[in-house]
Amino acid sequence: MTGLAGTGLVLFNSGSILPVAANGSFAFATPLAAGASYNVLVFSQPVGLVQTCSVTNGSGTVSANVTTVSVACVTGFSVGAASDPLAAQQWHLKNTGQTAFADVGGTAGMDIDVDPAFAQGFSGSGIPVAVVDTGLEIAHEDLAANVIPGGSFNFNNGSTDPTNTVDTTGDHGTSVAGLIAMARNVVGGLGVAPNAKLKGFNFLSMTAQTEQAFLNSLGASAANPSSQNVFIFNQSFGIDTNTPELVDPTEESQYLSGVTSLRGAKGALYVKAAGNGFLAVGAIDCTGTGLSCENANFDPANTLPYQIVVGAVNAGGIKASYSTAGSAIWVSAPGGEFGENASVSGATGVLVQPAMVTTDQSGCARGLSRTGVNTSVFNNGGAPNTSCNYTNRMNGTSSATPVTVGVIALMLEANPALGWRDVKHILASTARQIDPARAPVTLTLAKTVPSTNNPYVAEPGWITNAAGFRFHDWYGLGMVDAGAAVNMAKSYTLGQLGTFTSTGFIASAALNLSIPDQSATGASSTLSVPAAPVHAVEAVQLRVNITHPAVGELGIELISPSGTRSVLKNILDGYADSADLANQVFLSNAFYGENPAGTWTIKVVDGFDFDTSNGMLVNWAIRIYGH
Amino acid sequence: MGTERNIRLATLALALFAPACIAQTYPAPQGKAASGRAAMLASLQRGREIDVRGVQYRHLPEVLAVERESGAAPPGEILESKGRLVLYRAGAAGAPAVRRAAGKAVYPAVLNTRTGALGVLTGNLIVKPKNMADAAAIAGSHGLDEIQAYPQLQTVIYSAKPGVDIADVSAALQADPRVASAYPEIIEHVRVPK
Repeated sequence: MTGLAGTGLVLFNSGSILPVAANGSFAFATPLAAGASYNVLVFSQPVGLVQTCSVTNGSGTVSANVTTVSVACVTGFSVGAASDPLAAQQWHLKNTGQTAFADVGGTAGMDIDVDPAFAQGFSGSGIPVAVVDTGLEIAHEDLAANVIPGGSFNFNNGSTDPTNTVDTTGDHGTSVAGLIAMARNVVGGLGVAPNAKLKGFNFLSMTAQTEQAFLNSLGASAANPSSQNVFIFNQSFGIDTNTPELVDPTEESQYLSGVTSLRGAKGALYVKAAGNGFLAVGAIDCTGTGLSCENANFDPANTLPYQIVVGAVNAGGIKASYSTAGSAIWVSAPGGEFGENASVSGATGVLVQPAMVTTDQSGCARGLSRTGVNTSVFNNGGAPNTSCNYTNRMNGTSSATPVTVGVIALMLEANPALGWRDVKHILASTARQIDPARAPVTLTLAKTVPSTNNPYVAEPGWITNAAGFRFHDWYGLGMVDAGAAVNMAKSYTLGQLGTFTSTGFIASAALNLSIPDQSATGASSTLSVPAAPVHAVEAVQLRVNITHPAVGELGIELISPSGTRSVLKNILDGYADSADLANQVFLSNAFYGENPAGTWTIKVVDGFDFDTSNGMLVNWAIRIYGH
Repeated sequence: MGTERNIRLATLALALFAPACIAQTYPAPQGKAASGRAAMLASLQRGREIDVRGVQYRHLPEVLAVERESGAAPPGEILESKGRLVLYRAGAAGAPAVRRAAGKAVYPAVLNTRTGALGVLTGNLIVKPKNMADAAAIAGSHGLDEIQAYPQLQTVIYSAKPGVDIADVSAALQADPRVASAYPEIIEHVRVPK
């Protein structure tokens, strides 16, 4: 026996089975008489690490001890050699410039670099993932093998089958699930973690989305649904809002409980979509500003350090046109554009660039791919999608999120001992800088009085912080790199992040500083953070009280003691003329790894002058999470 | 994908109109639709005040919410949708209580006085007892059904019986010395695919 790395290999010979656990010689327990024939076969292949074992010289007639039978196991697989017929169009796995059934191809190499993980046999084997979404078609031909029997939950009827029977234009959760764990087989495509195990909780399809269902979907429940045994929660959802919202303390407690107690106290992973509101959010359209209309911080759940917030990248390796930006983003991942064909839809531009190829509601009567949908030949049921069981039009940070979930499943298979912060750290350390030449967005805040004219960097572009981490509000700490992440996970030294702690909120006194209209000078204030208990930043929360009749005009930035500048809220955003920020919390990941001790500076800038009176920075507070 | 249409329109607009340089233009933050909404909100009768974690909500006695049913006639002037719930102006004012009609739940609505957002009272109450051992006793004292207890969160979710005034029971819970905090569950922002 050579090359065996996985577990569960079983050989078979003439009615006897032999489990084999190690390389070297092996012998069946039941001897065969001289003259008997033997025929050694692989009864079951190794599980865990994906391996294929084959027998050489396996058959013959016994004349003496047989020593010529050999079994060799080869580890791993690759996207290029996959039998899954759609894998070759899944640019996020291996970008060759393919069109993914759209009109325009992407840029070769702009993918998650998953082949090095696959080549080592990692496939997310046995990692339980919950898709908290609209539904999950548990009998789908390319998902069924990975669906945990009885593990899902339908909040609308109390069953364990969350197959979406309401929506006819696509089941979001089914498409999300495919990106995580489409099985390795001879149909459809390939998940990032093709042996991960799926549960579907259809929280988003509830008539009334109750707090009970939310908590129970995210790890608070041992039954109906059973979520406490989930390792990774996929949250391809968010809220649409034009008004500042505060985090629900019960939900914050649940996330904290999940990272503290689940997965044997190593912590569950909560992966969440940043949003699709770069151009417009709710009732506000910001097209043309060049700045994000929705900020990732708008959804208060994104301002918690327990989340991994994900932005979306297109097949060209730049931010997807819709992807919400913001300092709360941890990493980015492929999410695609719109995948249409001009010949079918008449669309142009980003609409005919590649989206994501994944599972869809089965059949041509419903789904993103269905008869007469007229977005692409593929989605209309054209070859090779005559079954309409797949789509080439899934996109959004909804897609970037499950891609990241898949990468985490590979990491947890490679090193099951990783804690939730270890996973975040590895993602941060191995993420890839993309779009490196992207220029900052600089505006001239020009009032009629010339003395107040001054340039203002409203979107900083890539920065490198004092700990050496690169950060961009579009991409977070970079685009996920599965191969690098798995390799780091394998050799990772546990305990290096120390104990998770925080400074608590360190608050200013009442300031009541005027914020001048359309001036880059803004209003500034400083706070001092002590040298203990946090020595290295893992996340920074900022809480502000600001009076202003149109807070969409305001930009809010923090400058660390090391001089790193992060814009936590850009000017000209979708808050528009919503009034005041009352105890509003924002989060920045730009300071990751820095020593927080010293003086932090807040600056609030009014980027426009729709209002008739200056706003005021009433007070502020900062909370550093880290170790 | 949930905002697919908006994204498409905005993307097309960007392709057509985006200037080479960054424009100092800004979408009118409140257009005609926003003015219409403000007028609509101003026209709604205000009811009881309800405190939710320090934020004040006002019951809207003439606004109700029901499950949206395809093909069904609106039960009144439609004001807003929240996912599968539709909020409408009812013919008569009522108390802040969940009721059932034709086998379906009919929910009362509230206004967030801080943000101007409309919300739906589900009839559930989120309560943090000082001692989880009091959960059943608290339910009994206030005529509530215990839906689920979360010891790890020091939280219990109760349900008010149909017809029970949620503002009243919420205020009573907040005044109960066994209770650390209590507030009614309000669906204000529906979570949507992103």
